[in-house]
Amino acid sequence: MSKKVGYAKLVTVIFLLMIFGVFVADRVLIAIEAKRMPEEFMDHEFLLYPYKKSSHFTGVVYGDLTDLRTKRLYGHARKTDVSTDDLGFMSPLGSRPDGSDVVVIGDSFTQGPSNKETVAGLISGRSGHVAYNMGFGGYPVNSALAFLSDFQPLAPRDFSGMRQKTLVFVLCKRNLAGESVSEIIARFTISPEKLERKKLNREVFRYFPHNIVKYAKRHSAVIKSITPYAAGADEFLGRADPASNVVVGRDGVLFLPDDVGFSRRSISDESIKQFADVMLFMKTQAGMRGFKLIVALVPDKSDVYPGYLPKELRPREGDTVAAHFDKVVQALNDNGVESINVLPVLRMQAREHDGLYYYYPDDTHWNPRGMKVAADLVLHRMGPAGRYITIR
Amino acid sequence: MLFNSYEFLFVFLPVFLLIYYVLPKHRTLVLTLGSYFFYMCWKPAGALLLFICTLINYLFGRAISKSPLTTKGKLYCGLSVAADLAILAYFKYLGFFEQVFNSAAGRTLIEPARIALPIGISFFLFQCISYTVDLYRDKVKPTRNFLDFACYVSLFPHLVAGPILRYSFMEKQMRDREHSVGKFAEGVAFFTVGLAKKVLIADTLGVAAGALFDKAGGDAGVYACWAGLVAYTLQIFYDFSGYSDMAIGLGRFMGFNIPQNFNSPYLSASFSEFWRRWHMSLSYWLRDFLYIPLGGSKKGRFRTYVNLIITMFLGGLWHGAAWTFIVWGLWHGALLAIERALGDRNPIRKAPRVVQILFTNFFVMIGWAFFRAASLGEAGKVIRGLFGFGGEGAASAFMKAPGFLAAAALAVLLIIKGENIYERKWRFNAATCVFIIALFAVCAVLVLSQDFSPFLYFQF
Repeated sequence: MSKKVGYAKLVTVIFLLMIFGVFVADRVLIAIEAKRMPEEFMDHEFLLYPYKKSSHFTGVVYGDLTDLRTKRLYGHARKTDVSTDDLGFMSPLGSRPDGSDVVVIGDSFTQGPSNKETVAGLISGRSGHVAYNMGFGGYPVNSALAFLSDFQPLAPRDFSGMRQKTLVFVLCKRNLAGESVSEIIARFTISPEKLERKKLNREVFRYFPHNIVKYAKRHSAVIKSITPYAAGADEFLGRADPASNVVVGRDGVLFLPDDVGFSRRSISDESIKQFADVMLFMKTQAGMRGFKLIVALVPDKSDVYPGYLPKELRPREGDTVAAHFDKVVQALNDNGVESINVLPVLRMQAREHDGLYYYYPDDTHWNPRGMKVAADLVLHRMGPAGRYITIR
Repeated sequence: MLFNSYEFLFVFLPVFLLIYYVLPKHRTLVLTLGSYFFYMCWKPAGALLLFICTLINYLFGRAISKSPLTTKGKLYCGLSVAADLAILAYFKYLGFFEQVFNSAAGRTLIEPARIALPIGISFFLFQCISYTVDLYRDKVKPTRNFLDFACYVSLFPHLVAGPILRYSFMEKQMRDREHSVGKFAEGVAFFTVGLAKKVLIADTLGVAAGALFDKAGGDAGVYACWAGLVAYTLQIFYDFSGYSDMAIGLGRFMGFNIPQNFNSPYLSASFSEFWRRWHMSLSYWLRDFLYIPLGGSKKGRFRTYVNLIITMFLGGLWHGAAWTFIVWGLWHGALLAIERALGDRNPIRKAPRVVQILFTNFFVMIGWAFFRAASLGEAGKVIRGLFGFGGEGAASAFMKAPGFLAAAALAVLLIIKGENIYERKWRFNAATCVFIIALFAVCAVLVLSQDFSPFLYFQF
């Protein structure tokens, strides 16, 4: 009898040790992390991937601690001179005074898989400019702008230390059908009262249960320690199977159904006009803050390599994608917005290489070779400020 | 905050248990506050609704308890049930009915209201109804005080996904319950088994179901349709029964004996048996508070069939405000009515039990197609696909993943041969001890890493 109670006790004690152990370990590790990092950085949710000329980073990114997960995943450590204001806006300090600085905004195509392998990283590496990566995977480009409080007229901020500034929007076709100018303006314009209310809400709800548990999870060092090892488990259990949500094309090349859909979908002239108007608005906003705007139109894998799509999904009549891109470029030109059409360059260069030279076969994104083409085009368009550039 | 989440397992639970056991004289208060904290993790405002519903039913309960089985008591009982149903209708069904109205009119006559559905509302309101109705029927005594009642309604182990606890079952436990190491260890065992069902089996099989319903929109070939629908049939059982097991385990941590909610339902040889074994707390609730008040089987054969269909129709609607749930409910209502009508003349009854089980499960599985599909059209595609009239989509590569195949095999094996842990007399020995702890550790690692997606497809 006593032995049975003993085992029951053992189960109970070990279970409690496990749940309390993780809880205590997290609190201790967070306390250690907090000591290393100023308190005001603990709450910021927004990530920034900044690039210096050296493109070598060590240490910690100030901002959301969940970034540590990314750091572990990609095996890079980053240390930057970046601070944030209370709205999450990142302002680089001590930029090189003689540099021509670039901010690259976009979605996952811009965010990239690692530090160096991004449009911003390549611009920085190839030219010596300080280039800031503001790519946010999973967000439409317009939403990525929301992270830049620089665009809130009532809370203007400046990239101090920057002289010549270029803002690059990297846009895929899916970004074309977005919000109207009025919707963008409504979203980016925050009245002082609303701003105050937001701050107040943030303070009031700071210690409400939903925020406490979210904070705990976001800052869990145990989760960050374990996640890199989960890939194997996911693969074993078949949960990481990419084929469960992709279209499998020729030679096993994978496509996202959404991308294929966008390649085949016709975009109305009205949508293109609306998009061009939004970009004009962005150009005005950027100009008011001393930025020059360049819009880079980036094709999807299925646009450059339609031959890898399954037969039934290949474009049937004419090259609608190229026609759409041309229309967009024309509409941007009409509005006086500078643009780069990456599609024809990528297509032309793709013909010189076998296989999927510019895109990953098992991922929807372009690889660093594709990014390099875009980076070179951006630097070329920047003119004399873009140094050390050769375009074939 | 789900039971299978970091926030629950490694933040809420340790802190809550610490406070609960450090303050033995204030356990009801701690439990109630803890439950409200738990509930507020979804939306803080939801707790206000929970409190208002609790207060309304408590006050009506007091009034009813003074005159049970009388006209006055009946009036109060009717008012309390009406109030509960009105709250449920507003939050859960208003948008749906507006949509139906607009569809019937052919244009938007009413701008659909954007009402956020408070999580678990169907569960806690059904519990409130059972309390006031049982008071009227003089089957239970009123609660000692408001705190006890608030604790009963909000008890976090079963608050958001059941089981639906009848007050008659909890009445004594609210006043007096046993806390012991043995009971706690049983709780660990229940909780771990439930967590494993959810994390290891249900979530893994969910990939196959998701591939059929979410990715392919139900448009797939024979093999993919069968694989997806069988996977979903297994997933929903392991998901839901896993959650119930976790609720039972959590109840044990605090000395409660929460009743069994599933009893090997896929071993049922008839549809009526299935409903005696599936989501038992809901089945009993529907029987006692809907089917029997409608007249049950006492008003002739035809009325019995009608009552069965009405009960299951409303049971379907209870699951969600959508045509798919309504059709699922009617499907089961019709199956029960036909089975009742055939009685002993039912030819399937003469077949071996294993055939009866397969026959029952086939029809249950068809029902799950409606339950899972986003629309009736999608369900139709899946059902057509089962018989070779679907699309051409093939089953995905996850079918070759060893873990997936192991989870699928284990899921079937446990249904056929698995021991009903609720009926088990837990005797902890070294092997059980190691098994439970190791299982919990594996599940904990998966819980901690479940947000992680190693492929860029998933990450972006």
